[in-house]
Amino acid sequence: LSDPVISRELGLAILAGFSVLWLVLGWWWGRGAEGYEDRAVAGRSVGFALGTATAMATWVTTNTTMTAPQFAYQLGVWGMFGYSLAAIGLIAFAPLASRIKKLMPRGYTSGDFIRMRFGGPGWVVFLGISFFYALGWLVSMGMAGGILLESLTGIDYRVGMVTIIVVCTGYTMLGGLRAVIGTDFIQSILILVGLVIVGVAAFTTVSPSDVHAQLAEDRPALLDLLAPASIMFLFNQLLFGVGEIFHSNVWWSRAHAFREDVGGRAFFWGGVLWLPVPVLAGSVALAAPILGVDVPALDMVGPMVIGELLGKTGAVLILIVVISSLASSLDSLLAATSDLFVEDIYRRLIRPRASDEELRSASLWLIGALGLLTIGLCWQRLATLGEVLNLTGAFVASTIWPIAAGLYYRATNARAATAAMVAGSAAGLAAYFTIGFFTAALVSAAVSMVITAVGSWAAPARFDFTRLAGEEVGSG
Amino acid sequence: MSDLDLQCPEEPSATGAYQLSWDAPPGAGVVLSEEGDEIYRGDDASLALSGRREGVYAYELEVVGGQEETSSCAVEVAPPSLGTAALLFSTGALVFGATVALITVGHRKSQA
Repeated sequence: LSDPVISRELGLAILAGFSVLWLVLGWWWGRGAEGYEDRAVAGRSVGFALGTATAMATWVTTNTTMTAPQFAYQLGVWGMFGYSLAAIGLIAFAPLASRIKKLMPRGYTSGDFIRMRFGGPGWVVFLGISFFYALGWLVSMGMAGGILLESLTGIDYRVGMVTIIVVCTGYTMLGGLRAVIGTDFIQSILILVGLVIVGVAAFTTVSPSDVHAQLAEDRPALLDLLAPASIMFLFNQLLFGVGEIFHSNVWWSRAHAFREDVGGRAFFWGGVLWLPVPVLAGSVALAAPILGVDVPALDMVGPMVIGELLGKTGAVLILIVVISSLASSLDSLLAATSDLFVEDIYRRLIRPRASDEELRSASLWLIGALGLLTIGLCWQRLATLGEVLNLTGAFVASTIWPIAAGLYYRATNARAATAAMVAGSAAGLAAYFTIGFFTAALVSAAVSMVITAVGSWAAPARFDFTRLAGEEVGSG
Repeated sequence: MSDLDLQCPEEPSATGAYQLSWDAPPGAGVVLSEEGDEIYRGDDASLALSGRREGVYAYELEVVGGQEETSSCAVEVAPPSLGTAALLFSTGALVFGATVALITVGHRKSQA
């Protein structure tokens, strides 16, 4: 492969420095945590600044900083702008977060809501979707960390991947959600400052008009606003992002953790701050042809172009941005997924009368086990990041209508919601394999919407929303 | 058995983006040509291409300064029809609009 921009020694030093920083901060923020509630939902008292920062930073994943360039290189300008539409997911979740907090003041997970609202069958289907998505996201991030370190520093893929996952697992175990949200705040600042510097530096090095002229000559399809795949990608990406956020316990745990008056505003401003990030990260990939960068794999285009554009300094900067974005999402996902296991499987099915200490202990073991499982699944670099990520779109988009309709309308029928998740996922998978990855979420959401709406219209339920607040979920 | 082996994706590309990979003698530099035009010269083992319009693209790989041995393959770019794209785009707009309406109306009612 091409020579790395940063020496292996410098790469290892940066990685070691951030590893120590995150671990120390995780320990520092976690030392005051008392009991499972403090670990799982940070005492339900997170304020606006931390709330906005954690919403934005968690949504800036390595998929944003590495897959946005991949999509720009693959699908052109629509790939870049389409990816930024995932911000709509955060903005649309803002009213839902307020509603969740109001309906379930003692809730812990998205699984709590689905179980109480749609019953056992819907809960089982939802948990299957959630765990599959969580593993897909964890694997895509673990792979991204390894790929990035290898392309920029020459550190072996497996060494980089294992180091990053072990460090994130370590500080999440040490500090729970408090550590996750605290480190997210620092990581969000690093990400924003780093991306602004990279964006400004990139467009003062290569003018956008030169980039456009080169693309028009060499790769006109990337500028084609009517390219069929790119057109389909737009709403697919938007609905994928909405599905990811609406269903995932990463966001529900934050809705529960934020103060009552904070959730709606924090998610809205987190989305607004996130909107330009994929455009900044993705646009640099369009400079690959004019710079003569030979890209050996689609998912390496971002770091390679930035390394070429900005040399060693730029490469160090992007390394810090991606390590921060990776850590801010990986820790959130580890914490939220372990809570889903603890709440919905351990406490519901295995030990209904578990003590606070037992829940805390189970949470620690599960975070560790998830970290190990992620390492195992990332060991072989099997697919490109985009492929791993988009397969999960077929599943998560099927949850949009069951969740939104279930939160607001008593008539939403549990059987229709369950059937919508199953049929939507199946239709999305069929579209993924027969048409292309850029249609899976769109088809899934459409089928799920029709089944939820028609089923609830034909046989309306009379759900009593006070039941959601009445049950002492997660009290141990 | 040949030391030079160029591999193209077997399935047609719907996006016009795809990756070529190859096996070459250890340490050897290679030249890759697309439709007779040189597009890569170096010692990597793969190349990701994008922005290709509908059609069939032929590739040929040879070792720099080596024998006359070459390896070749072809990739088909076959995007979905514009009709299918327009249908799915409209469907996506409809689902998104309906979802926004669902949340907006529900939120207003819950605040009343």
